[in-house]
Amino acid sequence: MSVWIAQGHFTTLDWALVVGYLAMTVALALLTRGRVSNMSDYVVAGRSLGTSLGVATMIGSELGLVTVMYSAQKGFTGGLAAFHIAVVAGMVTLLVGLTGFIVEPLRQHGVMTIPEYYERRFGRGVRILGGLLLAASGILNMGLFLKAGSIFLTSVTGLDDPFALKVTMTVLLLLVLAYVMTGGMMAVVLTDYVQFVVLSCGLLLSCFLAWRAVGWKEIVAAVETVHGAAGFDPFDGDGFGLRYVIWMAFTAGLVSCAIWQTAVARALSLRDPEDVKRLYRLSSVGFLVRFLIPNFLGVCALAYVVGRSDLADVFLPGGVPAGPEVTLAAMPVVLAEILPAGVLGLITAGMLAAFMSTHDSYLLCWSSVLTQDVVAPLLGDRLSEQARLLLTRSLVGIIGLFLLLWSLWYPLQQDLWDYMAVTGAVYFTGAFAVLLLGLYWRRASRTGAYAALGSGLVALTGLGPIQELLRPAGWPAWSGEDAGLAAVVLALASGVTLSLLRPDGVGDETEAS
Amino acid sequence: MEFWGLLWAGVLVASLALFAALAAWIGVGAFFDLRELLRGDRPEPGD
Repeated sequence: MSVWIAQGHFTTLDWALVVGYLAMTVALALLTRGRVSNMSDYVVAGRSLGTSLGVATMIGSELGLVTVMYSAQKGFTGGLAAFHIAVVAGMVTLLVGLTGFIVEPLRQHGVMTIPEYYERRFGRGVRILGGLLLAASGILNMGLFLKAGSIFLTSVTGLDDPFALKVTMTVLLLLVLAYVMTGGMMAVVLTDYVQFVVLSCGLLLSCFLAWRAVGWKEIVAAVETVHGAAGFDPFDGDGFGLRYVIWMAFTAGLVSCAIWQTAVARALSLRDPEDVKRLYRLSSVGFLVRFLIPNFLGVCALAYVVGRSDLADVFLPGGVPAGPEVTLAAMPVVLAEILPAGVLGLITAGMLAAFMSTHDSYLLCWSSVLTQDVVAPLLGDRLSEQARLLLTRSLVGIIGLFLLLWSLWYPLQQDLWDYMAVTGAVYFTGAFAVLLLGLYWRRASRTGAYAALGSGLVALTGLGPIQELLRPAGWPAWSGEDAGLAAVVLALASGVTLSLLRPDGVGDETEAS
Repeated sequence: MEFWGLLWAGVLVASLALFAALAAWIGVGAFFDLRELLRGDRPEPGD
């Protein structure tokens, strides 16, 4: 719950735009009913996406409300130096687009999910473990989406009745569940396209209006006052520092575009494998601005707050940024102050629809991974197509219920982006090693793959509550990036070492052997 | 700090201009892709 309620800025016109826009989005998504006849239709839209639609849906899905919230928070708490996250994300995605690193060979295998590749290369057990870790990590990763969404809605609209807020967020989630259960990837693609168009226009307009409201000189002065040199130089140890920049090149860059299943799903849905590199080259601009625009809105919020003593008391007590749940609200509160009626409604509608769009992609992704990569292989692939569809749709509902409970229970002790990077790292540190070794090193073995996947659990110690439980008395605290980078190194080292010590035997059931 | 301020201003303006151009181009192309998808046309890979 936000500590600042922007009363009176959100007009009836804004509410009408929100309700009308959301109704239109859901109606469009429900149009895809009846187009799903098998798992391929449901999970990868029958592998029928053209490149332009692939790029639009990739950006529409990844540029969600939650991305905007956590990136704006980074701009507020880190200053202009937070732009480095956007720059490394765009550069690494472009490199993947130029080289096809990981994604091109993955698409050529014709798999629907990354764990499916694990089975072809390393055997069924690796697929089941990889699928479990991927789904668990992914579900935890989206665990605070509802919290971020409710903070946004409260801060922008002034909706301060807790009951009304809970009902609103639950209704939004139920709408998503309804159309993902019926339309699958077809519905996701359609809503992502609408998101792409509305949010591209809305965010560019917001940037212009925010810049006009505060001014560049005031932005630079505010960053200097609050953050000093560390607010400009990302390598300054008082702010982000070199290890954080490396961690961002890995997480916001390589992982976000080439290892995170929700993004890779677009590459795997492409009609033509030859288009994969093109998709990534074009998407690199999207991966850049998905961080840059909200970073900038966060910096504008900082400058606006510095100039308003009533807001500074809340968001910058004693001249330094307040706690994570408070700073998350800074950008939406300032948007409510500076955007005119109508524009505010359109941006809010776009953000809420983007919130639903991110939820739909993630719910579809994790439920299909659990069905295809965990339950079906455990049952020896005896599940019929219809049983798989029913199970995937049921899992969408179960995960939705979990999200409602988790977002109410978990205390956010770090910036939202850092929480997401650490929870995601449980999967992607091991997955990076397994994909790298599996795709590019013939001697990688099943035992090495198990070791690499298991090493990802080390990243969990980057979460505040878990570190408090496990850290021996007297030990200094370590950061999320320390835990994540340690997990990457451990996963690679254990994967290589155990592959050399225990190579696959002649009778092993893998593609490589 | 002046260097970084200028650098980030340049990055911001160039990125937003590039994104605006790309979004317009992709938006139109994706519309036709989407129309094809909803019609149920499924060309074979390489078509």
